[in-house]
Amino acid sequence: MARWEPLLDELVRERGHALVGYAFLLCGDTAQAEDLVQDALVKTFSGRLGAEQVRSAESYVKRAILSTYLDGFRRRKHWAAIRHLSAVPDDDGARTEALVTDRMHVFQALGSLAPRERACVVLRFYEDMTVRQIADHLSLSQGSVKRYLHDGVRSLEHALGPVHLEDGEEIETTPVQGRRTR
Amino acid sequence: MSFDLSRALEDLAETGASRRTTDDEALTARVGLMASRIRRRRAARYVGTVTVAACAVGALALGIANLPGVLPDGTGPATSPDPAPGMTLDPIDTEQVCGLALTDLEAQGLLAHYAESAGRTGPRTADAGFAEVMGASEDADGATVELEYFLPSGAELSELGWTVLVVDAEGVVVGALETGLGPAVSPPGATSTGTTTTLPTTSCAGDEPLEGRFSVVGVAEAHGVRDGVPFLERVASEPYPLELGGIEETPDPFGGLFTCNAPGPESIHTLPDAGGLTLAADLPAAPWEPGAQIVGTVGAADGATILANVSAGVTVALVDPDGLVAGFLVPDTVDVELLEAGDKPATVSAGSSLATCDPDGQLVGSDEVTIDGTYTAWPFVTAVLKEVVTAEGEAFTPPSEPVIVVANPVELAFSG
Repeated sequence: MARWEPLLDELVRERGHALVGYAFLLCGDTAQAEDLVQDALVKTFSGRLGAEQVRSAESYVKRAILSTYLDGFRRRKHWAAIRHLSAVPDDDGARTEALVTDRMHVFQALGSLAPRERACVVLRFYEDMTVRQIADHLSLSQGSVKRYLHDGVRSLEHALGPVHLEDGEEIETTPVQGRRTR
Repeated sequence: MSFDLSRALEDLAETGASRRTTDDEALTARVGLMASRIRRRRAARYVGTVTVAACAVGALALGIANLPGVLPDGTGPATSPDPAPGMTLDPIDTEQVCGLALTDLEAQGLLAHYAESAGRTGPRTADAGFAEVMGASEDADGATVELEYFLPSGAELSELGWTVLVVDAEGVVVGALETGLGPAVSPPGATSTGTTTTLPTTSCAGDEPLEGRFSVVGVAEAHGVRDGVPFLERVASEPYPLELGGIEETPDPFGGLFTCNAPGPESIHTLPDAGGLTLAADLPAAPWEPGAQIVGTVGAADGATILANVSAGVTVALVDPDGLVAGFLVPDTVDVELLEAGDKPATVSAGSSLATCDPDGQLVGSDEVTIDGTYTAWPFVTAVLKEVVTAEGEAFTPPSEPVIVVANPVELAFSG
């Protein structure tokens, strides 16, 4: 058995659930999230992983999920649009009605964002990355990230109300003047 | 009252990941399939990598990589439940699809990943099968295409058929072959079944010989039983490159700049125009070792900001002391990334493998290939520029021809 195979198995068993959750935030569909994770795992493990990289395989897979999602969006736009309109998170019956309603609102608001806006919002508010880290992660300028965050957060606030930021947390939401690259 | 977005996203992620009670099992069950794909990719990544990396960028310019609806992306049309056995699929008529764009076929629902079993309420593609073209090459009898269909977990096949489409650079079907449904050959419990078929290399429109670079898409139609319930599905593979007639035997993907056994560039002053992109590469100071990571920093000259599709790994041409190209360090990826190079440079990074030029000018690569001595290393990436904004703020769309962005050469040592 090749060296990477036990790691693949371990990663899927121990972190598969979390990876699917991360992918779900990006794509908004559980089945597609699982496919994204699978494609990302194949992509990551098809490369030559060094010993040090093995330890951080999860972060490589997350990065691959993100790039696969962003790269594939145009190809999948048609069906993604349908899913976002039709898919609704299941009610497991254990949560309060208010929580479920909130969740649905967040789901729908998130689904209305453009892919890069959505990616920036997820990296900022779910992965807790700074603007600089997001810029590094997506190979964008910090100005572009700020613009995506600004547009994304404004869209979310339009649907959800003011977004709460933790004490000391800052996010520059000043729109950057100029062109939009995408 | 303000909204706690972080907590809401955590809740939503957990909900999304838990929507299926068996989601972990579903992913875990697919580890075997993933491992198969990984093994094939790792085995195939050597010699073809240099060519494919360049072609991948070129393909983006031509639209091949944007073929909608043919990728096994697990996104199918929502389908109504059909509890009755005897489900049918609209047939793909190989004569009628000739000359149609793949986008048209997708619009007709003929190509999109399709999976339906009795009792299903919608697309649940993680449970679906998977089609893959394993290889395609021209020979004396036509084009031999190797196809593999991977079964959904718990499924047993009764019949399997393939439709193989040859697609040109514009995404139009120029050749098609249907094998017809036949008994499935895999024994019970098999996870995949493969077949090899031979395509004619003439156009389906007028029997003209096909020449140039094409893609092959395999579309599997599978019938069988899964968990005691009849199922059928149609799944389309990713496009697989196929070169037919008139292609030079020795691929020259880099416009004559780097060709096996031919002279390398005379100096950095004779390099072709890179459209304003620049490259700096971080090569190992010590003798190169298999798998060594090579990081490239892509920038833009003259204060411009450039959006471009760039090969996700740096290739390094190795020029021997006689000034001839002796081999390449090929990246472990053929992916292309959309990068923005401007006030902040963008980076690409990948592990590297060695491929050397044999006396016939062919690249030879494997884990066992070694060379010795010191070579002049020319790192480069291929790119297709999408948008350029000059320092003065003027934006324009550059030509979509691929460019080669070459870094300054350095001396690189190899030890056996």
